[in-house]
Amino acid sequence: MRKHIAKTKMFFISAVMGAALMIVLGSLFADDLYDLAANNAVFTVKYYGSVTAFNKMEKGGKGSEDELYQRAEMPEKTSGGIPVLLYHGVIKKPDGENILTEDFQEQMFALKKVGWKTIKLEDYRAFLKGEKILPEKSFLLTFDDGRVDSYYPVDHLLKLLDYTAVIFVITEHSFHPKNSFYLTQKEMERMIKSGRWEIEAHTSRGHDLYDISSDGKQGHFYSNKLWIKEADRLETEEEFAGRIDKDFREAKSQLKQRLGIDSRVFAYPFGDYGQTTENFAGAEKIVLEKAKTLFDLSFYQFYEGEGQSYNYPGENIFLSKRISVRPEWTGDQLLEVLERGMAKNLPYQTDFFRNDGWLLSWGRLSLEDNSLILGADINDTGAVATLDGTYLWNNYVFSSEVVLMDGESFSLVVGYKNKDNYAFCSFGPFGAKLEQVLNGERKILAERRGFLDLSGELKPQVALAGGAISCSLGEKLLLIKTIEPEENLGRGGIGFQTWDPENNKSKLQVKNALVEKIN
Amino acid sequence: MSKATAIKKKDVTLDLFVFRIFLFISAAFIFFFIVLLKSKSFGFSQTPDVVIYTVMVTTFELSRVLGAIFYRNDVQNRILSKDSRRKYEPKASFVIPCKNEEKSIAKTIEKCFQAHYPREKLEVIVINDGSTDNTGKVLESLKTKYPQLVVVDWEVNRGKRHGMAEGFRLAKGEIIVQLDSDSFIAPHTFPEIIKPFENQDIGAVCAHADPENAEENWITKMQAAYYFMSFRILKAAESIFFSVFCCSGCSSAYRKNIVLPILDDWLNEKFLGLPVTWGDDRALTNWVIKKGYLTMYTDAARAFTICPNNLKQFLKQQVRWKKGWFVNSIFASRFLWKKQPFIAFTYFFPLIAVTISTPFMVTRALIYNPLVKGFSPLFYICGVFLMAGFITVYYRWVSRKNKFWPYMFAWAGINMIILSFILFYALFTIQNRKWGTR
Repeated sequence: MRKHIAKTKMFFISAVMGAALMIVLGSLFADDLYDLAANNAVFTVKYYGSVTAFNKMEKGGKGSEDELYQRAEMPEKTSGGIPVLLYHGVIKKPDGENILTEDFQEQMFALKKVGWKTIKLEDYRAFLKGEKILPEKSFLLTFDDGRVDSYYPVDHLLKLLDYTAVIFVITEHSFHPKNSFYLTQKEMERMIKSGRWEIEAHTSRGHDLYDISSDGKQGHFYSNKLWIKEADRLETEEEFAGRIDKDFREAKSQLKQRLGIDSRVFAYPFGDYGQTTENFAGAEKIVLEKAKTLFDLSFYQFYEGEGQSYNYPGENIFLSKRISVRPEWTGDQLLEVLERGMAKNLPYQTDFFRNDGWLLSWGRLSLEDNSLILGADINDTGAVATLDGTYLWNNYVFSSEVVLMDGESFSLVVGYKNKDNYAFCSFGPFGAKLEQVLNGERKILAERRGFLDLSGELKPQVALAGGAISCSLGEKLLLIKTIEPEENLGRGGIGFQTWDPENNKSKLQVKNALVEKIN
Repeated sequence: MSKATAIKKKDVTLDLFVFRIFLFISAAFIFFFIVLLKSKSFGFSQTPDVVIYTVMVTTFELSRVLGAIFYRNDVQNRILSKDSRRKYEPKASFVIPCKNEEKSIAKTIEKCFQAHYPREKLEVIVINDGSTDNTGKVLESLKTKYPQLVVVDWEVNRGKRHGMAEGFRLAKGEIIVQLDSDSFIAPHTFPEIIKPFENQDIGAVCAHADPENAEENWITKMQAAYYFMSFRILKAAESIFFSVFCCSGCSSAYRKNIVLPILDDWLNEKFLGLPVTWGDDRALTNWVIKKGYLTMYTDAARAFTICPNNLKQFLKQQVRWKKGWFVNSIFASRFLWKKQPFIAFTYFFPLIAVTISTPFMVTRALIYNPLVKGFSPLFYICGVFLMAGFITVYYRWVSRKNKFWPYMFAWAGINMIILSFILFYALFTIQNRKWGTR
């Protein structure tokens, strides 16, 4: 009997160890198996769910998938500029920052319906370099941070709509995971394999906040000198540059090592390449310089005051703007945002019945009674509004009917490329003045002193053509100035400006605007 | 006619075959899902301590089911020597301590005398431990009917242990069958509890017990499922190595000449300076093991007992059992690792680790991690119910007719949220030595 017990012990212990081994080893394999089976199953369910949802939106038509694609293949005009949309996570419970799954689906469906198509980074790059023409309504879809919830709620929609997306991952978080918030290597491998995703660098360690002064104040990694606690001082410029360089290289090399991706595209964490620095004015220059040595495209978040929301082939193609899509936008609102930014053709005319792309740089802007009202803010002396989608305009005459409701002077902006590069004709009691902002520096190009009567309805006109700028008021030519090539005023869009030495005073009513091509 | 019966019989076997195939597939599926669940929690859906704990518990519980599968009630071939074909029928004494059991004691005694065993070799000793109701009168009247009934009347209540000890001392039988006052052994299965004692190494045998009042309400139904698990899985698994740690008080048999020398030690056991009033069965079994004898469980002897039918009594009983378990685990761990190292390290110490860590881990997995770390408790809960599912499949396999198996899930749920925490309550009130079920 004792012998019998001994035998049972042997059988028993091997059976238990076998079971334990099956659990542990099994679970290692089961993980892959699970991913494969569960993800494919979930993907399929979601995919057909979306097909049904998409077809429901189709009115009248049968809405088969083929039809859907045919619609997208319709002959189109070519694109002047490319918008880049930015999302983060696609989530289930609203948090004010990230978009809800159903809203994201609605936005994507809306884009697809009117024929918007995604492009790949390669095409985008070629477009900016002027090597490739893309159809109108092409856009680049991007996601930041490499979150798991940028992938699973999105992937089936990409497949359904025949879209692709770029995802910028935080390599340190993704390759050395501490939780399941960020995409893992396995998931990214699967994404690449699907052909629907391009993976590029967001940062390695730069997505956290760091101490930037002795009092524990925290700030962005890419735009501030960090506080070195041990040494009780801020970083030196060299240390800053070294750290930035290291992060770029780390992100790049991790993508290369882990996924075999030769990343040439970078998205700045928080969209901050140094422009919002709190303690180091030289940050922007260093960051951009370093970035240019390692990448050929980089992305940040556009804000309204910068003007032009699309990206155009031109001088500074290294920095691309992205439209950060708000979670509360409906599909139609997103379309409106994109339509306003779309490259506008000449002649252009508006009576401000609706806003077709007027962006406010500062001050206050409203559309009332078929007029654009531009006024200074309580704490400001002036206001500026520019027209989106006008980046490519050249050789034109810009005329308008305005009433200077209050304030000293107003200006017509021409050659507007961005907030740091444009020219403007000012009309005031002092006379007329032609000024230029070039790389952020302001200088007077021409001036004509003498009193101007600015009461009643005025008809200012500015021409940017034939290598010269002219400013007129009514029928009277006030100024004309030949522009030098280095002044970089060959092209650019239009805008309005008001000014008064006193705060909250200047106010301009614009009744209409007309821009005509001059040959 | 005979042909029809044959066909019918064949159908039944086929039906059973299909049923078992179905169970086998279910078991495979459940095991697959358990493995899957583990693989998911290896990721980041749980903290490492919970993961390690769940792997440990799963392995432990699987080892119990495996042990139960190994269990064979094959007394003839496993325990007795091949040549023993003689009839082994030693004199047997029932010992039944009771207090205020006027309603159930008569039935208990009658069932004892109905045992399929030579009447002259049977003896029933009832210790009337200070009853204040009519128990004494009932016993008097029974005495005339059954001359082999011995009644010990105590005016003042002295406690169950003392009653049992008195019974053991008075017993003339070689084997003592100890019963609770409200339990009985199915008469035709009685010989099965005696049979193993032919092997002189066997010191105690525990019968399989089921609640007699299982049908009453959901609490008793749930306990019916629990009794199955406790006896047919846990005790059966312990029995494959002949080390059953608790020959349950409701129906177990002991060899008298082993028990008598240890009676005083057992009676005077103290914990933290006070006499131990609960866990007497567990303590007695411990002593038998300590003396180097084997203890076993047999599912051939079927006993029935009354289980609490309301939540309060049920919880009180659980608290008492937990106290008994805790105190006796301390006693047993002092000698077991020397005496039976294999069992100590493959079963006994893991059991203690699991039982003590469970309430902590439940708190962590169901409350702390979801609230603080944002991990879903879903995986943990799924794991608990999958394991209950696995046990249920075995339940169905062994006892197809038993219909209380769905309550295994209720038990698993209640165990997770209430019973595992009772251990703490039991420990806090361990100096309260009151009896407190009925």
